[in-house]
Amino acid sequence: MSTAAARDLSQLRVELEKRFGTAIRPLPGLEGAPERAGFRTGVRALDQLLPAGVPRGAATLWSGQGTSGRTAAVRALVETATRETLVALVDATHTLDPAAWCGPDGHSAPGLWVARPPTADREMEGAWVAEQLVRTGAFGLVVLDGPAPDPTEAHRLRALARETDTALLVSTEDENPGWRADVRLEFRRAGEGTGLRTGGRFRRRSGVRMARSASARTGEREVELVHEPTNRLHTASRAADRRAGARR
Amino acid sequence: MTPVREHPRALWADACGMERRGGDVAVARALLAAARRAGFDARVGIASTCIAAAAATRERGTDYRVVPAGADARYLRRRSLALLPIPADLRETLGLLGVATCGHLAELSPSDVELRFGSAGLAAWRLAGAVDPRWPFRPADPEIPAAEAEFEPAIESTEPLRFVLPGLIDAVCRQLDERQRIPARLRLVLTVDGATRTEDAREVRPARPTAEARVLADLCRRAAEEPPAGGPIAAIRLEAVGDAAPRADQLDAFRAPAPDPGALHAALLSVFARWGEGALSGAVRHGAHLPGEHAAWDARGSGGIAAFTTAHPPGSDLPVPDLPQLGRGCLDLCLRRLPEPRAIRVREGPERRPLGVDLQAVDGGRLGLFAGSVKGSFPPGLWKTRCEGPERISGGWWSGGTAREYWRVESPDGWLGLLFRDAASGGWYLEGWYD
Repeated sequence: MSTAAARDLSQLRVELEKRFGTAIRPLPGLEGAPERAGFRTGVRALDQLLPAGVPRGAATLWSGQGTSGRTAAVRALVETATRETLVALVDATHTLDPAAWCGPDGHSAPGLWVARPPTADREMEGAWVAEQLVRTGAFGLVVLDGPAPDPTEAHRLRALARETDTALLVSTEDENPGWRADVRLEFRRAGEGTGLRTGGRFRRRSGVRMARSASARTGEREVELVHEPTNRLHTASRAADRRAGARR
Repeated sequence: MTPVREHPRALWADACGMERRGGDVAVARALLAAARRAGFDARVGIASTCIAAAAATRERGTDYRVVPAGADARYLRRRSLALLPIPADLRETLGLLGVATCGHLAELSPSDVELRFGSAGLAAWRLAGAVDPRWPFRPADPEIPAAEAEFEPAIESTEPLRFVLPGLIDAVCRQLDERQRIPARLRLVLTVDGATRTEDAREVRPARPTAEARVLADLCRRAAEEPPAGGPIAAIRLEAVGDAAPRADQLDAFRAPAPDPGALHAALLSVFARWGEGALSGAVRHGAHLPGEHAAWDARGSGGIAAFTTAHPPGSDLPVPDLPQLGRGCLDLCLRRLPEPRAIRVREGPERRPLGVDLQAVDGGRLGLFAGSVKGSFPPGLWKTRCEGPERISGGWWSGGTAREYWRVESPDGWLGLLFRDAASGGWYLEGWYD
């Protein structure tokens, strides 16, 4: 067989393994087909901590306080993942600002399904809704943003994620949810001094710590949190900036 | 022309006005000639019903047979039961009973046939008598496919409807199947037996036209859950007010198939029932000035499922790289807005700048909203904040008017919040925070 034909066959095999996974029998003498890669965030520090990405078929927990970058990291992950698969995001707390999730065309990604309760006081139903979404097996990534599920719900969610090969991400402010995730990242505000600068700009460090697990490295990284107000609280207006200069 | 499902090498042709082509015999000869030119040995049968035409093609000794109009039943009388598309066990049983021809079967009493052999026997009896409901290209029946059931006495609750609906759905789907269509929109009409008889109509619309009984049954059950006002239910009628052609999706060996909208809708019916239209939302930018108005979550509901599944991203067009590709080193903070701005206490300095913010009153049990889950976002007793602003936004004079002065405030440990002072009342409110 010529080199070009062999190369084409190898590429064909790679494509089939990506699509059908372990249904493709490995060549004799070789290891079984590798597991499907997880989802990257596109952020250097997070991808260093998770070189294989947010894993499929497992439950990942991201916890952190306000202004720790946790929501921004979720947005970066969702933005990357919607290029490959359908993504479901459960906004249980009813606090996600839609402007942050709009693309250049003024709409959210077509492959992003956002589920929101009718009122903010029904945030505890978020875990149940996430379970129904994972159960369909239609989504490659399901993100639950809100209160952490209780241990029973978490166990059920993890089993469903494993069964449907779905990447489940729980993003919560609760630092001690009472159950153990397959992968856990803790976001915390770090850095000295002030982050708020002239004109409303913000730049500050945030620490991201990885808990021990088999699929990720331990350790801690720092990521820089930035906020550029672009002279407006939204980016569509062309009116002149009327703000006075900031003074201490 | 369309292939015959029961006979792999047969074709149906539906035609009228054959007298313009020289009559039935001339058309039959022309079809034979066309088949021979294409290299096929063929036989042609022309009749008023499909079963008689199929039997005519089986007649030996001739390449074509034309059954005169109205003579289908007489033509089938001497034909063997093997011509009828009936189950083999039924044919065998009839043979053991001495029923060998269509004429023998047609002479039996239909009630006896149905009693002894059930619906399959009754269908065979009809075919033996040249009563064939099949029609290759029947023009659309102007009547809406419908099925109904009456309750005597009238029922107070909607619970019995759960047992009636599957039969109604099956009847409507069969009527549509004869037209080679599937339901796209159904209407459920409950006849209410109150002071006067009224009708309570409810629409049932699957995410995608489907004939799947489970999906339609779930949707109809949810539509019929709420009892009608005004009295008990005397009758129920299910109508197919919209239909569509059935279609199948072309799959790709290297791309995972998009989830079926009907199946996804059925799987998430309980989510839509609990969270309503907001169970499927998307962000839309409007471009207004206020933070709460320049974008919104557009609740699409179950009607957005079909568009969502067709937006399946190209999996194989953007292959995931094998080597780690490290992205940028910073994160753009996102704003998290409270459902409603909350009043807070602010210590003002010169030029009404916020020097200190007390958020303890916000993070309290009296709100109920933030009990437990969000309290980590609000550092208690937040005084001596650094602030940037103001950003003055006003407008909306047509709806009462808004004039606000927005400030970004930072706590000593780096929590970044968004406040505003209402120009009309002078009060301070927390809009949200950045994360």
